[in-house]
Amino acid sequence: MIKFENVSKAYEENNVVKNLSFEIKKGELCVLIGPSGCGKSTTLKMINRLVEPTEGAITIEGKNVRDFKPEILRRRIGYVIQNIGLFPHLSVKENISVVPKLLKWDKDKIDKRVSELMHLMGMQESLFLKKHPSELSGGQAQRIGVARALAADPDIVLMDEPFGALDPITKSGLQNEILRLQRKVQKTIVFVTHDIDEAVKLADRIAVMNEGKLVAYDKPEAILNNKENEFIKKFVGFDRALKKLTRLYVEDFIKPYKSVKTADLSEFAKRRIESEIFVWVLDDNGELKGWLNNDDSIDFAENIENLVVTGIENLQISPGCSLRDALSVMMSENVVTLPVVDNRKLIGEIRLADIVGNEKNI
Amino acid sequence: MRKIYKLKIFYPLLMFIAVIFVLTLGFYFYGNREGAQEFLYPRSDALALTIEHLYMVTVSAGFSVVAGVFAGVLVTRKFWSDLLPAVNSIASVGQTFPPVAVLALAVPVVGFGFKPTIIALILYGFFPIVRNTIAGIESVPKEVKESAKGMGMTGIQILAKVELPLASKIILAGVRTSVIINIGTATIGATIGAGGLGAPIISGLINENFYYVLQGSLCVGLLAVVADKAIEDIGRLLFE
Repeated sequence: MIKFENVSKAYEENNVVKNLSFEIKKGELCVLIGPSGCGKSTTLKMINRLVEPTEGAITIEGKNVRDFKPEILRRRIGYVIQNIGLFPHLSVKENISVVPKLLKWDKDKIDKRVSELMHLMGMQESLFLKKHPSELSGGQAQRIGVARALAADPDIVLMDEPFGALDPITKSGLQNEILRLQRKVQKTIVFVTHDIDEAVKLADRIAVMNEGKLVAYDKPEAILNNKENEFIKKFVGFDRALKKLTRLYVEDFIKPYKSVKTADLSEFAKRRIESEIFVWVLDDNGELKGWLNNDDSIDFAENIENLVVTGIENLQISPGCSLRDALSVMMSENVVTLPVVDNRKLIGEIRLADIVGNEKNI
Repeated sequence: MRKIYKLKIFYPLLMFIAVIFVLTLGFYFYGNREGAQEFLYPRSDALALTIEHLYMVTVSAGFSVVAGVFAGVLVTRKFWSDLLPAVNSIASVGQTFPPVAVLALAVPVVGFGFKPTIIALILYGFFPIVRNTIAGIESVPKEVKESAKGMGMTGIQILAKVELPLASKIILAGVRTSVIINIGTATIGATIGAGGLGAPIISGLINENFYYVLQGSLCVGLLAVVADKAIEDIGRLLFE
């Protein structure tokens, strides 16, 4: 969809981007990553002609970007930047409708689109539309920034370190939001960041840049597995294995479980299942209550209900969590198995051995 | 619509009207007594003088605002940006130039009366407006301009929809300074026959009539306060 052919950019004697050639496929989220000054932002800005390349050509669906008038090209490409760049003198609604207005949409169409986008971003119209950017939190403002970029329904969205200035919690929330949105709208997104965790979490494909050159362009798993290239090895860091876990989800590693209902406990005490070292205990509604150690040395004879270990809310993990989260919970709670809970129902368990032993599957 | 007495201009304006009314009445009841002499100017009432004064200030302020904003916008365009430091320095130096000197230079060219005064006022009022226009446009955050450009606005659209609206508060502050300075400065126009509220002051100074000086100064001072509050009110109506 977006193709770079031998693209270079020089400011006077200073080569910022050197002979870049790669192609971003339609519907993919491509992350450009590298240290400060590696030319990733410049590369992004050459797509919507905020920066003109000195050499080479950039084509979108086969058409050279130079054949478009810059303003016309930019109205067809969404653009989100760090620090948001919302217009402080316009309301949320006016901010979102900037590009549709430039494209001369009629009022009804704009109104309809604005409410559609607010709904998509999970923001209440009555609460936000009339507010000004200064009245929004950082996370809310960046949501509006994203909504504004999507306003005219562009095929391509460019994001230049959009979450760089946000706190970690808001940042992670917005990253999840982007993943959810991307599943829905399937845009071609070019995303610039210097945060490798963010890249690994979001990208379909990562372009690693250093000193103006493309070092590697591959799937995140492959980038994390790359042990030959010194730069990538250093950039990814020693915790590359942990980083891989962010792209794997608990739901794919769920194992069947053994459980017993509270009402059946006394029955269970009589006929132990020898093979299990513990069983989950459910209440009458099927909700997780705790677990029961099934060690031979424990005598189930007296008051078995007091032996159930309860208060294990911290252990529960949802199927959408990453393996990295699961591993973290295991370490902090000092256990090797976690119950996977969806909508308050126990649906399975995940074991440390599966997380550690899965390396070959990646 | 807010209540009219809530406007800041309300009380100063009331006071100003009262003073002009009393002075004008006084002029017609006692001013033509025998022995009342004319010094330098044909004598006229306070209302007529105020109208003359306002005429000079509004005409010159009109020109200053248009020229000042235009110049400020021009030098903040990329194409003219080489001129920016020069214009900034001229604007600073220009403030120190005594308006009497401008009058002295203008008289040989355009003659006595309104014209040289208005020229001096335009020049004098021009500088605060240019400076504030430049400051206002430069205060627009870089990322706001970049996102405007990245969204596909043309240069003119960025200026009209983003830069000027965001700079307007600061530009209006410049206009306020400019107008107030000029209400004061316009009094010296009387020395070259422009009339206005400077006339009683100048004639009072020449024939050592303290009351003339007091009357003129009181009117000019009040007029400045009225103008100041008027512009403040305009700003609040526009931006709140």
